[in-house]
This record gives sequence, structure tokens and C-alpha cells, in this order.
Amino acid sequence: MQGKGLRTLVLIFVLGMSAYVLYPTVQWYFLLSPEQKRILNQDSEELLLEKQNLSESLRKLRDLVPDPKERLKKLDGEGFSMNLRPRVTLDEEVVLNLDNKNTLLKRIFGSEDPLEKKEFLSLAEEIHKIQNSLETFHNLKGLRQKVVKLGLDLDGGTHLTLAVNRRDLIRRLRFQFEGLGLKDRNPIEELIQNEGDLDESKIEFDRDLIRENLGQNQNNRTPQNVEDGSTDSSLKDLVNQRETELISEYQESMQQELSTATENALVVIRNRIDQFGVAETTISRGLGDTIFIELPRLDQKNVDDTVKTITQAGELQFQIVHEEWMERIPPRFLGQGEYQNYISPLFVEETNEGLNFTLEAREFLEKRQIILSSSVEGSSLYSLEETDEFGNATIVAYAILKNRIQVPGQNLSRSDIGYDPQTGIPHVLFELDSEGARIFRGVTRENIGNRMAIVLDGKIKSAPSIRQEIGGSGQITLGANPSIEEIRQLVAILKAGVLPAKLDLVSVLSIGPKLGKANIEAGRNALIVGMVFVLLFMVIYYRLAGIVAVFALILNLYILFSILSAFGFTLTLPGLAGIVLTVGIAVDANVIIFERMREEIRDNKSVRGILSSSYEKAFSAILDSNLTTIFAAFILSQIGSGIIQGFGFTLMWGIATSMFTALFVTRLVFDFTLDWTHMKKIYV
Amino acid sequence: MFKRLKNLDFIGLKKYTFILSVTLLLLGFLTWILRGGFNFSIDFEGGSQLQISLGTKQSVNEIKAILGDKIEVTELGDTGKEFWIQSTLGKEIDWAEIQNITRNKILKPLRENFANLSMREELVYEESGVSFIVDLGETVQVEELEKFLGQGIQVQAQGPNTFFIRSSLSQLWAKKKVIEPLREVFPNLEIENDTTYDPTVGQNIRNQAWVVSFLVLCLILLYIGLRFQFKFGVAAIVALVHDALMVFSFLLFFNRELDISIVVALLTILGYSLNDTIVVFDRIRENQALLSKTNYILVVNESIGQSLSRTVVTSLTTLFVVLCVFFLGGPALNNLAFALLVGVLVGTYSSIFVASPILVLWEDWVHKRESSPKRKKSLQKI
Repeated sequence: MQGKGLRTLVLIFVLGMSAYVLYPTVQWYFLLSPEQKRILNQDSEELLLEKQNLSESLRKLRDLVPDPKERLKKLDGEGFSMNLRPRVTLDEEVVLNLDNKNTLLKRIFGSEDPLEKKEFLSLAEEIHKIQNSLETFHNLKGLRQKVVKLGLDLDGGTHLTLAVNRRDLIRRLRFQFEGLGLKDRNPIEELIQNEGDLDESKIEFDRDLIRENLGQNQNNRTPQNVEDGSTDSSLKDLVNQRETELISEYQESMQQELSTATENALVVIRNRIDQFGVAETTISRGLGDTIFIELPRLDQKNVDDTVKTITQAGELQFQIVHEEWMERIPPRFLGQGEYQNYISPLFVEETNEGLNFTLEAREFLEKRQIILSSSVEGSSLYSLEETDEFGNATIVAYAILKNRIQVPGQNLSRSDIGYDPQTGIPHVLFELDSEGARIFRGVTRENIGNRMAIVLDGKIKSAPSIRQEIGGSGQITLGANPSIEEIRQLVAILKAGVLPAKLDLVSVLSIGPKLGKANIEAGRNALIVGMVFVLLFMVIYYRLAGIVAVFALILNLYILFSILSAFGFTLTLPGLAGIVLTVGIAVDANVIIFERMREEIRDNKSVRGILSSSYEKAFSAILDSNLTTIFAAFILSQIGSGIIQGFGFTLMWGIATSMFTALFVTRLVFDFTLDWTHMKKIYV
Repeated sequence: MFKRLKNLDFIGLKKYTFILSVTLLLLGFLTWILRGGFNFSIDFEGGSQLQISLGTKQSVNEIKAILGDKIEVTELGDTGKEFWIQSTLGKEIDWAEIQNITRNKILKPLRENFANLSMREELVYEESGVSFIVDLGETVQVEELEKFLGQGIQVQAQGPNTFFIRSSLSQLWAKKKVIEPLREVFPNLEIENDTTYDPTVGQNIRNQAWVVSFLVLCLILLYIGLRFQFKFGVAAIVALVHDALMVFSFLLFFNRELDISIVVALLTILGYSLNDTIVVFDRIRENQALLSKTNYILVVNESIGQSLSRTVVTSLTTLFVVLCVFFLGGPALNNLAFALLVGVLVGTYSSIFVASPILVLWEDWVHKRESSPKRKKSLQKI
């Protein structure tokens, strides 16, 4: 064994780290009042309202100040009415110095009389209050990530059932195979039999188109065949055969995509949850086409957010803005400010057939023969949405895009968060694969001067002008003031891949705590009584050594809980069972050591000899029994889901910590005790 | 305390213990056949669990008289006013009745109130629920519609005037079989908590448990094979399977429900039993090197004896906790505690009387093969 000094340092380090990661949980459950926590239950609309109040007050405040540009220079800026975070928007000094109102007033108005500027002060105080509560909200949200939570079975939660939208799946399949020769006149809807299988007899392919495609390939690959002077008929046979092969290949791959859609969706959802870090969520495949997701007890807002992240298709496309049409639209229909090159939302409405101009606008446009309908020459209206930091999307403008998809999202090879070097505003960086980059270059070369819209799930995210030919990478900006969370979410969605189709939310069940409050208390008390029994038994049966064991056990639980806290773990009934088993195994390790000690004492060894040989001999038994259990627990925590995973996780870490406390800590305690007391005998 | 027991011929007892184990397992199997399978609980089978408060004092029997035998009623607390009511969907879902209920509870009121109603997508009956899409022909708020249809029916807006309406079977069932009959008698009835169990969730866990257990067993075999010998791995796994089957048998003997907490208990027991077995094996490994290899039975007996005090102490301490949960932990943890109780006892028993004798048998078998004339001949040839 190493010197005691080093070992003590290791122990102190571990305990310190544990205290550090355990603190948020302690803070959450013991230091925060329920009123404080209630702030988190605000839904997005309340927050939006609060935010609006804030910007309203800020505007009023600015109006009160003469020559605000000069005097509130530091307060003003692009984000004046948009940004929330007090530290960014307002000069800290100005707002936080409300205690020293006179100085504040002097700085702004040149006068010191607080009575005169009552309105200004009350506005400033209100702003201060709103900012504080918004900041508390953000801080609490961050804190909750690092806290041990109670699971669905102990605390209730939400159970979601999702299903792949077959219509959307079919729409996409059709899109995919149309170019390859699928005949248009049979809508795929009719080709699907009841169970979602393809009715192959009804699929018709356009042989001419296939031959054309095939011809191109033939010319590219094997021009010799023709020159070799093969007879016409054998070539025809060859082409015919290839055609038939291709058709059955297509049929097969359509069938394949239909049958694996749910499985693919599941993989994408898992990726998204991992990427986005929606913690303690369980995902599993339900019967048939359904997917189950279990969310812990969250406020409505979090449930909505998660549903949004999960169900968003994540289909990224690049489409060209139809500038010719956009230019013909009279200025009165265009937006203001940064949206001056877009159509104002006032003149577009959503109808059953999709987006269209309002009746008023349509009449006007038709009269002047500018635009006859929303879909002219293969283009349509698309909305441009912007999201605020609470995830509320609002349509800010519209544009007419050419329907042709220039580069499909499948060609995306990488995406990441980037920052504008000048403004520091975050955006999404993406890279295309070689195929995508080739197409992208071609398209940008042909469309210099036009805008290229980056379209996610049918909505414009941004539409920068093409200034030059662009290769395989680019960036997506999300307005002037995007929240980092939204950027992260988008990156996560792009990284996780495209869902095979939209997902439908089939059901949302809120689940009450299964055990009920009284039962949870009964269970907890029973566990405590049981533990006390065990500890008492250890002390009575092993005397001094028993006290050491009890100390080790308490340390063990402390370290285990801090690990759970660091992972923001969700404690479920199975997780609790894992902890109980951990306690059992930790006690067992000590029992093994103490029984060895008793054996060694019978052999009349010296105190130190007894200590080292009993630890040495017990080591292999403890190591092997614990490692096998850790392996098993590891598999459970990785492969299993839901209850199995929770059990595996606590058990795995519990055994790891119990090995540390039972072998390392108790030995250290024994060593110190021997040094200090000069014992001649070990009381075991 | 353990001195006399330590010198016991544990392996010699294998005749009796094997008979005991096999008999118990056979009895378990027989019970399984007689009972027609396990008594799966609501979280496996699907169903509804309601926590109700009646406003007036009632006895469980009075409520049972209203609801019928198939529905479980448990009193909550001691006020006599709050109850837990559980109804499983049961194995035989009467589809005709489900369809009937759906039409009466959802469609009929809708048709009566919305004259222009048209069905966009026909009613779909699945194992877990019913769903359909309707066009109501007029503007309605989702909340209003939800309120109108009442408890247990979910509404989602799909487009202008179009709604996706869904209800899980168990919620419909609960509405028809529990809430309505009770409301007639107790108008002050309040539903405090309503939990629905989807039958597919339990199905899922069951499927997963099998796959995961198989993988875990393979890994255990591999690890023990590397650290000990292959035969130790086999013996440990036989003991684990023995324990799991034994727990199932006892659940059947006492006619206990198989719920999801049993899956948790089984995993716990496997971990515990494995731990126990390996500690004994570790002694055997140690003594194998020390003592003469000729008498394997002696080695194993000695090892069990040496580790006996530890085995007993550990089992005792674990039993303290489990017994406390069993007697004080309340009804929700009772099943878990029962399974753990059986598991701890069986797990301790199996490491001494199942895993260790198998090692001896294995050794005997290898010994016999080595000393058999055939084997000798082939050895001589080499």
C-alpha cells in the first residue's frame, strides 16, 4: 500500500469533488423554497408576455430620456428591445445602481431631484424586477439539469406515443422514385395494402424513362459494347433484362423503406435525444408502428419542447428564391426593415390548400396581372419564421421560392455551431458531401445575384444572396438575435439525420406517481429502518471494525449520490433497488474482509500482518464478485431501456463506489487507527 | 457459532438438495400449467388505475358490490374515503363491446351536437386504443371539445375544424365500468389520479428483459471463464437460472401478481446470487492451489465451510432490509419485497447447494473420462 499521505489526499480529493457535484441537488431540495421553484412552471406564453412587458417598459424608458441616443448610448443597441439578459441589454451600472438613484439621475438628466423623475425611476425598477425574474428562470433551468430527480414511477410524468405519418412517408417515397421512373398516375396511396405492404402488381414504372436513365449509364460505363458490333437484338435483350432488374430493385427498396420507417425513425429520435440532451427520457419501440417516449414530470413547456425536437422532420433543402416574381410585387405588399425584400405577413394567409395571398392582395395582383395564383411556374409561397429565446416561432415574412429542390439534406455531411467573427452571433455551420458540393457549386454559379433559401421542413430559415460560387460548406443564420439553444437544437436535428417522415403524436398520457405519496413514504421509512438494523448489527457483531464499516457505508452513499447528481440522474424504483443492492454488496465486502481478519487472528499474526494479509486475501473475492456484477450492470445500463437501465446505472456506480470505500477507505482508517492508538489487537 | 456447521459435508447433501430443488421447480411448473400462466399485473397487461375520493365513508366491500369482482379495490389511508381502483383489460377483450362503447361514448354525443360532422378517417381499433379523425363542420376549441367528451379522451387539432380523437381502451373501459357506475351512487366522486397502462409497454419490457438477460449471462460466462475456469462459469449460470425459476415458482405458489417490479427484483436477485456464488468460488480457487487436487469434494466442502460465516452474515444483513420493506414498506413495494425475500434465501442456498455441487459433478465427469479405457488408449497413441 502507498503512503498514507497520498491516500489521504486521494480521499480528500474524491470527497471534495463529490461535495461539488452534490451541491446543486442539495440546493434544489433543501435550500430553494417551493415558491422559487414555481418560477420554472411558467409556460412559454407567460414568459413571452413578460418579455413583451420588458421591451415595452424599455421603450417607455427610452422615451423619457431626452436625446436617448447620446445619454443611453450604452443602453441602446440592436438588441435594445429584443434582448432579455440584463447584463447584455442595459449597462449594469445604470440599472443595478438603483440604490444610488441620485447619481443615476444626474448621469442621465443632469438633475438630482428624484421626485421630478418618479416615472423614470419606477420604470427602471420594474425593468429591474422583470430582468431579475427572467434571469432566475434561466439559472433555475440550468440548475435543474444537475440535480437528482424522481422518475416516472415515483413522481409521475408523461408518456408519449408517436407514429410515423404514412401519408408523409408515401409523399416522400413518391418524390424519391418519380425521377427514377415511377408512373405518376398511380398515386402511391392506392398501392399500399392494409398492413402497409406494397401491392406490387399496381406499381407501374415508366419504361421509357428507365431506359433513358439506363442509356445514360450505359454510354458512360460501357461504350465499347456498342462499338464492338453486338447485334441490336442482343443489346435490346440486355436492356430489357436490366430494366426488369431495375424495376424489381426499386420495388424492393420502396418496400424496404416502408417497412423500416419506424425503425429508422427510432434511431433518429434516439440520436436527437442524445444530441439535444433531453435527459432521463426513455424511448422504445411499441407494437406495430408506434414509438413510446417516457418523459419525467416536466412542466408543459418542456414537454412541448421535447415533442418539437423529436417530431421535427429535420429535412433541410436549398431552394432558389424566384426573384423575377418577387421583383414584380409592389412595394406595398413588402415587409419593413430587414424584411423589405420579403412579402409582408399581412397579405398572406393559410388556406386549406396551403399558403396563398389574401383575397385583397390577390384581387390587386390579378388586376394588374402580376400573379395569378400562389403557385406560378413551379414556385410557391414559403414562410420565413423566426424564433425567440423561448422557442416561440412567429412568421415574420414570406417569399416565393422555386419548388425545385437544389440540394437535398441527405447530402449534408457535417454540421456544427459557429460564431460570426464580428458580431459574435451564433449560427449553424454545415458541410456537404462531395456529391452535394458538386451540385451546390453548379447551382450557385448559375444563380449569382439571386437569393438561396435554406429551407427546413418546408419553412425558410434564412435566404442569403449568392454573391459568388459556393463550394461544399456554408452557414445558416437565424435572424439577428438567435438563442444558443435554438442553434443547438437545429445542429442536433441536422446531426441526428432526417426522419423518414413526419411523426404524429398519437397520444399523450400523463401518469400519476404509481406508488402514491403515502406509499413512497412507507417505502422510504422501511428502507431507513432496515439500514439502521444493518448498521447496528455490524457494530454489534464486529465491534470496532463494524464502526469503520458503517463509516465506509455512509461515505459510499454520499459518493454514489454525488455521482447520480453529476449525471442529473432520474431516480426510479428500479434505481432505488440498485442502491439497496449496492448497500448489501458494500456490507458484504466488509464482511468478507472482517471474516478473513478473524481467521488471520486465529493464526496469531501481528496486527499489521493481520491487516495486510486479510485485505490481500479478501481482495480477489471482492474484485471478482464485484467486477462480474459491474459487467452485468453495465450491459443493463447500456442495452436496456427504462426500468432496466435505471437499475443497471445505479448498481454499476454503486458497486464501483463501494469497492472504493470498502477496500480503500476502510484500510486507510485502520492504518490511521493503528498509528494513533498503538493497538496490539484488532477488535473484530 | 459456525464451528459445527463448518465441518458439514455440504456436497454430500447434494442428493437431497437436488431433489428439493427439482421438486420445487416441478411443482412450480405444475402450478403454472394449472393456473394457466402467470397472473400478470396491470402494468404488464394494460389497464386503468384510478385513485378516487368519495366524499363519504365507505367500505371496500360496498364498492366491490357496485363494480363487480373483476375490479380490484384497495383502501388508501384510513379515512375510508379514498380508494385505489384497478381494472385490467383482461386477456379476452370483447371487441364488440369496445366498439359499442366507443360509438356510444364518443361518436354519439358528437353526432348529436355537430350536425355537419363528417368522418375523415374511419375509426381504427388497435390493441391499445381507438382513434379516428373527424371534421366537425364548425369551429371548436380543442379545450372545449375535450371538456365536452369528458375524461379519458384525447383531442388534437388537425386542421380547420378537423380533430384527431383518441382514447386508450383502458380509459374507455374505466369510464364505462368504473366511473359511471360509481358516480350514480356517489355523486361527489372525485378522481384524484388517473393512470393508464398501455399493454404494449409491458410487452416491450418483457421482450427486452429476455434479450438483456441472455447477453448478461453470456458475458458472465466469459468473465468467469477467463478469471476462473469454464466450469465455474457454467455452474454459476445454472445457479442463476435456478434462482430465477425458483422465484417464479414461489410467485405462483403464493398466487402473487407478476408486475414490472418483479423484473427489477429478478435483476437484483441475479446480481446478489452471482456475488454470493463468486465469493464461494473464490475460496475454492484459493484452496485448489493449497490443498491436494485429488479430493475435489474435500476442497469444495472446506471452502464452503470457510466462507460460511460470511455467507450467513451477508444474507442476514440483506434479509434485515428486505424484511423491513416487506412488513413496513406498504402495498406498492410488497411484491418487490416478496420476490427479494425468496431471492435472497434461494440465492444463498444455490451458491452452496447448486453451484458448488455442479463443480464437483463436473470434476467427477472429467475425471471419469480421463480414466476411461478409451481415453487412455488415445492418449497412449500420442
